[in-house]
This record gives sequence, structure tokens and C-alpha cells, in this order.
Amino acid sequence: MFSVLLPRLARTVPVFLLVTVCVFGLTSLLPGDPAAALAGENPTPEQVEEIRRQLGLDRPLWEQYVVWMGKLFQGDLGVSLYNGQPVAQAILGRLPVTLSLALVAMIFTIVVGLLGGILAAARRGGPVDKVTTVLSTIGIATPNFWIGLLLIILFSFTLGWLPAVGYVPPTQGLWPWLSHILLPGIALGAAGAAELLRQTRSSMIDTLGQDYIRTGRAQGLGSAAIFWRRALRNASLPLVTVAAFQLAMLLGGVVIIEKIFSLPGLGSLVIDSVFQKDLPVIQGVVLVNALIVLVLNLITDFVYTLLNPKVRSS
Amino acid sequence: MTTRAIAAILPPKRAAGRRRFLQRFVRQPLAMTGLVYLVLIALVAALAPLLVPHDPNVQDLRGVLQPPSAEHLLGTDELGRDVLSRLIMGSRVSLLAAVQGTAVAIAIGLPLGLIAGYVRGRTDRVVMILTDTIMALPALVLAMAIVAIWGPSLTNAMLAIGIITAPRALRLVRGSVLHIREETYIEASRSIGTPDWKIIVKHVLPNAAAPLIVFTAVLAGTVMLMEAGLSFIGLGVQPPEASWGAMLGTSFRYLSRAPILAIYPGLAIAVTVLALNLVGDGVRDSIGKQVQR
Repeated sequence: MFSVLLPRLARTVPVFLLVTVCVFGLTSLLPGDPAAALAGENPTPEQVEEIRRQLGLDRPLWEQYVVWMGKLFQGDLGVSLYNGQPVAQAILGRLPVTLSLALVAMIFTIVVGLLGGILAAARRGGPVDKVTTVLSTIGIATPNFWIGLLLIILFSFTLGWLPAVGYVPPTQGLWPWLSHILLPGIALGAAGAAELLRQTRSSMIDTLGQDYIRTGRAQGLGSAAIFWRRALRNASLPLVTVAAFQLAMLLGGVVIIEKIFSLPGLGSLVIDSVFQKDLPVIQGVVLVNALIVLVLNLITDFVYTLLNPKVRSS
Repeated sequence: MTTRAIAAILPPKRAAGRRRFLQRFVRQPLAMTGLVYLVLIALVAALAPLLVPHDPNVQDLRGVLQPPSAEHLLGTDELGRDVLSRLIMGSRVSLLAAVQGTAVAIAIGLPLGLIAGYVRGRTDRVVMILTDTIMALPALVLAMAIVAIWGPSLTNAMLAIGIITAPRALRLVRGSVLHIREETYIEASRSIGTPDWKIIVKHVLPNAAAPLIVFTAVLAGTVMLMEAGLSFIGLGVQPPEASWGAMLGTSFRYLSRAPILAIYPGLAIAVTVLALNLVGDGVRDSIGKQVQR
């Protein structure tokens, strides 16, 4: 098994280094003078010079990179150009909101996707199968922020059940927290749920037609036992894939969802810093996200190897 | 005898395969519906200036946020502009953006994928590390950062999205090339001394095309969703021009007063992406051989 995972691990190292080069390069390699761009409209030459010095842009490129990497390994992601706050601190401060959102989205994805897929596969061609197939096809094609707007129109404006904007930390009560995070969480998890539903359905249908399931049936195993014990085990593979993929794509989706629901998470931090051209913050968020994705990929490979005997033995 | 032997290991005749493919495709109602819709919407986009009932950019500040009427079939927006006309002109921007982004992604991904998959070895390893790197970066955030530095415009947005989605095209092409290069007819071709570039163009490329076409349809949908996202935040097309995503972005600010304005552009995006996915599924199901994803 380690013979499968070790090369993966070995490949992650150069990828991580390249990621840092790319993120570092956001300031240095893109056309134009980042210092002038950061100084805003009609800057004095002194202001541009000050920013250049602040960013260390007056030194050779490789030296800038080494200094930057050194700080990185000490957990120093630099300082926001906009308000002087350390980037690591800004990210940590916003993380609970985005994680709450991710949690709700993930639960929605897994419950709806897995249950829907299983029910659809159990009665293939039945009414449940038809409805879920149509819904999941639509769900994959619909932008998550539009789903968010529709949920606001329906549940906040029309029915008045749930608040449309804002965030309340879970320390102020479970329901106030959940009521603010439920709609954005569903909007964020909808596409993943649709994808998981499709994959669970097709992998269950595949498995139910396999020889060993038929053998089990011939041996007198009840169909419920077969269904839950044998077939469901195989549904775990798409679950891992979709869950990992969704977590990896989360930051992209969260950006607009957080804007719509006025949630002070990582996504709105990104939007603000993009409009303020606050590059250290953008770099910090991109880097943290890339690191999460790389670790997730490794975990996915690991779980895959555990679950899938074919990968394990090859 | 030699010609016979070679004919036996060559892939099936392409003209016959194409006819079978078309026969299978037209028998799928969903895929056909998607295709007809896409053709129609492309026509609308091409003829947009002739079709609009009003000038999409003319403001009427005395008639803002009007409900649908005989004069304005879908009502007016926050500046009193005709929503239907803006939707029609928006189709042009949205479709063009999707084509641009997809074209950039394929233009980068296809040649690199062909080379990496065919040459293997060190080239392949370097290319794969590069793709892993880009795929580890958050796509939309990276696009936002690039657009913020280059300056917000639709072309910059689509260039950024194209570069960021290119690795997905590359991986797919490389994957199918890895299979194709082991086929007997490639080996036969190589053994009679055909140069590599000729093998790639004449044998590998046509056989890698089918899964790529399926992927292109789905990718166009993804690119469209990303463009809508960027334009929603204001980093894509700049006012007064509007794509569907940008219209959705402005409608958001008037959501409590005129929620209906958020319905039309969102519906337009969803239906178009749906049509692209349906056509992609249809093409996949019409190809005789099993296509690996």
C-alpha cells in the first residue's frame, strides 16, 4: 500500500514548491508595476517607492522569494496593505464563518446526494428515480449563487422563515447560528449533492448487476441485506471523490455565496482584497487554499487505497 | 496481402462511424432538444442587434423597475432599460465569453496533452506537475486575482479562466492518448517509419477527438458559470454592456424591490449550461466505444 502512496507524496513536494512560486509570482511576474498598481490613483513617486521598499521589490527576485518562503515556514503570511493586519490573523478570524458554511454544505451534499442516489438506484426507473435524475441534471447546471438568490426570494422575502443576511456565531445559540447559515449552506452544497446523487446512483446500479451480488442472492441472502451490506460499500468511492472535490472547490463557490448572504468569511475577505488590490491577503488565502487541496488529495488517495482492493493490490 | 493485414489493424472507416454516430445522436430526444436550443440561442446572439425591441442601453429614469407590460415584455431594470433587450444582447456577451474561455483552455490543453501523453518520460512528468500545481490553486480566486491585476474586462477574465481550466483539458487528452499510443495501428505506423508528428496528427488526434468533444461541451458550461461568477462580482464585462452574470449581479442589489429581475438572467444561464451538458451526454452516449472520463 505504501508503494502506492509514497510516489504520490513525493510528487506533492515539487507541486507545493511550484504553488508557492506561482503565488509569489502573483506580485512579481504579472505585467505592470505592482507597486504603482497598489499605490492607487495618481500616486507620488515617493509613495510608489515606499510600497516598493515595503514589499521588498527593490531586491533581486530570487532573494525576495527566499525571504518570503522563510517567513512562510514561520507562519508569517505578511501584512495586509489595506489595514496593516497580519494576513494569518485575518484568515484565522474569518475561518469559523467559512467552516460553518462548509459544514452545512457538506452535510446537505452527503444526506441529499447519498440518500437520493440510493433511493433512485433501489427502484430504478421508478418515480423517485425519474424525479431525482431530472433534479440532479438541473442542479449541476445551475449557478450556486442563483440558487442562493432564489432561496432568499422564497424563504426570506416570501415566507419570512429565515434571515437573508448576516452571521451569528454558534456561541450565541445553535438556532440563531443555523438559521443564518442554512440557506447559504444549501446553495453551496446543491451542485455537490446533484453530482453525488448521480455518481451514487450509477455506481449502485453497476454493483447491483455484478456477479457476486447475484451469487449472494442465489445463496439465499435477502435483498435488503445485499442492498445495504454489499452494494452500499461500493457507493463509498463516489462519496470520497465528490466530498474531496467539493471541499477543494469550496473557496471558489464561497466567494459569491458569502457576498450574497453578507457573511464575513474567507470569501468576502477575498472579494474585499481583490477590489483593494491587497495582494498579501490574496496570496495568503490562495496559498492556504492550495495547501488544503494538496492535503485533501493525499487523504483522498489514502482512503481510496483503503477502500478499493484493486488499487491496493496493483 | 500486406494491405489486407494493415487494413485489419486500422481503426474502422471514419465516414461510416460518423453516420452511425449521427443516427444514434438524433434518436436521443434530450440531446436533440439541447442542440436545437443551442443553435437557436446562437442565432439570437448573432442577430441580437436586429432582434432587440428597444435599445438595450437607453435609460428611462421615470420608468424604472417596471413590471412586464406590452411595451416592455419582461419589464424594465433599475435604470429603466428594457430587460428583454438586455437579455438578448447579454446572450451575445455570455456566449462569446464561453467560446473565448473554452478556446483558450483547449488551445493550451490539447497540444500539451497530445505531446505529454505521446512522448511520456520526463516531458510528461514536468507537464503533470505543472497541471497539478494549477489544479491545486482555487480557480475562481486565482481568476479574480489575475483580473484585479490586469484590470477588469471580459477578455482578461476569459483569458484567466481559460488558463486556469486548461489543465482539465490537458489531463483528459493525455489520458486518452496514453491508451491510443498502445494500439496496434500506431505501432504498425511507427514500424514503417512514419514520423511522430504525423502519427499524432493523423492517428492519435482523430481517435482522441471523441472524448474531447464531450468534454468541450461540459467545459463550455463550466466556463460560462465561472464567467457569470466573475461578472456577478463586477470583474467581468463592464457596464453599460452586460452578460447574463452581470445582469444577475445588478439584480441582486434590487432583490427586495424587484426579485423578478433575478429570475430571467439566472434562468438563461442555467438553461444554456443544461443544454451544453445534455449535448455532451448525448455525444458520449452516441459514440460506439466506451469513453473513459
